[in-house]
Amino acid sequence: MPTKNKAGFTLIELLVVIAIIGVLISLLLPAVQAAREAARRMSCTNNLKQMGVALQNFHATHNRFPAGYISHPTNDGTVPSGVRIDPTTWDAAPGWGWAAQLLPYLEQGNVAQSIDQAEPIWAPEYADTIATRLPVFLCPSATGGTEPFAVQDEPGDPLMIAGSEIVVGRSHYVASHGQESCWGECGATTTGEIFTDIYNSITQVVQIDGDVSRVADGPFYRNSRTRMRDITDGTSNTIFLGEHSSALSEKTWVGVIPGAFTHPNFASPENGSDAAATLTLVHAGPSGGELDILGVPIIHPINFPTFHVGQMVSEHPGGGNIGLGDSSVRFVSEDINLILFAELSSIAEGELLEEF
Amino acid sequence: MVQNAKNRCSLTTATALVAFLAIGCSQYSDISPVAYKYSKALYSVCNRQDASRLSKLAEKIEAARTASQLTDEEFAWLSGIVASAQAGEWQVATRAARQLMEAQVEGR
Repeated sequence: MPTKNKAGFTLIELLVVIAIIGVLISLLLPAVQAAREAARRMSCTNNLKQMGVALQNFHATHNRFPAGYISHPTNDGTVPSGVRIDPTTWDAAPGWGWAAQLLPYLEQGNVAQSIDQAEPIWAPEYADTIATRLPVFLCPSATGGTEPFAVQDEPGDPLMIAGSEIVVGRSHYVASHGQESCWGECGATTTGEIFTDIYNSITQVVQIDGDVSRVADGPFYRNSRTRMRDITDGTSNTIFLGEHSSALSEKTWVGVIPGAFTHPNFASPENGSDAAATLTLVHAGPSGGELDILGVPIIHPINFPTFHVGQMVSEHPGGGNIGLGDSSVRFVSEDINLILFAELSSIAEGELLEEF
Repeated sequence: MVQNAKNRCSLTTATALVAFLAIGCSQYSDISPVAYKYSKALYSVCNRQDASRLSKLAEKIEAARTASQLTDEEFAWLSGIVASAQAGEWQVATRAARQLMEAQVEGR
């Protein structure tokens, strides 16, 4: 009887081949993912670089950097009738933020020309414009959305102005207010506590009267007019811009709407909502005399695990990108020396910085 | 009979793998607000590699344990991080303090 010559694989051989393929894929997959993340990080770096160059061009034109956001002068807490003002923060119309002011320098001239920055952000005729999705403000690694979002009020409901929601274009980038923050508490409160020496936890009470410049020590804040010569710590030693993933909270390129609040999308024991200025700005800490259990100032660099809506947050593994005042972009570790990060956040504290 | 033995073996292996992953991925669980404040201070001290503040913090953690402000588990976690730092493993301690804080995040 002739034997039947079986061609093909046995089950064992097939399983071995599948196992080998599985092992090879498992070896290759992390490398592929790492390469994809490297590309996303490069794209993010490029976005920050574009913004850095735009800031330099803005300065060349106006002899100053753009304001953190434009608010009607409110140093006495009053504004003309009809001008929207937040009675707590004294943020007022028009509200356009640093990124909106950069539009003509980011090849977004058409968007910029459709805006009169003397008019409030929430003017009905700008409803479509402010909801524009601008890729230059979107980091490919950031999760939490890239589409426009409705600005929220203090309880977390959509903020309504004249019966309408305010839908704004998203940004994964924020500007630095410095070490100190002065947004929620810089309105009706006439005094505030600031750090004069973070190394020895020394603070001082200052009269604020709604003038944020008496507290802010970074390049961008309400009605800031920072010039190159103001940055005595050196532009290459000063953080201007950074990342803030929508995974934590929504930020916008548009600006600050009085009465709005930023809410965290996930909870940590010490995060919560914060005032409208955090729609476009963050700070590094320490702020307002806040000390930890050892009496040491609380500093929260990028990805600090308290995850406050007023800090930088990146989804690049291990750290995030920051844009410096000289328009260079650096990737900093999330475990960067806390003091160094605070020092990098101020414009004129006179610190001697170590290499980073 | 042989098939049953193989199934049991596979099940045991899978269970061990899941347990290993679960333990490995979530070394820490929920801690009290007091323990959280210590973990934050610990992160700060380890980040700055500040040996003098570390010893002060170690004393405070010990005192909090004595005052029953920390559970055995919290004390063990915090003490473990302190021990790493005291051994000069600052980066390991910093990373552990970060993981302890990150483990408290909900809904991420």
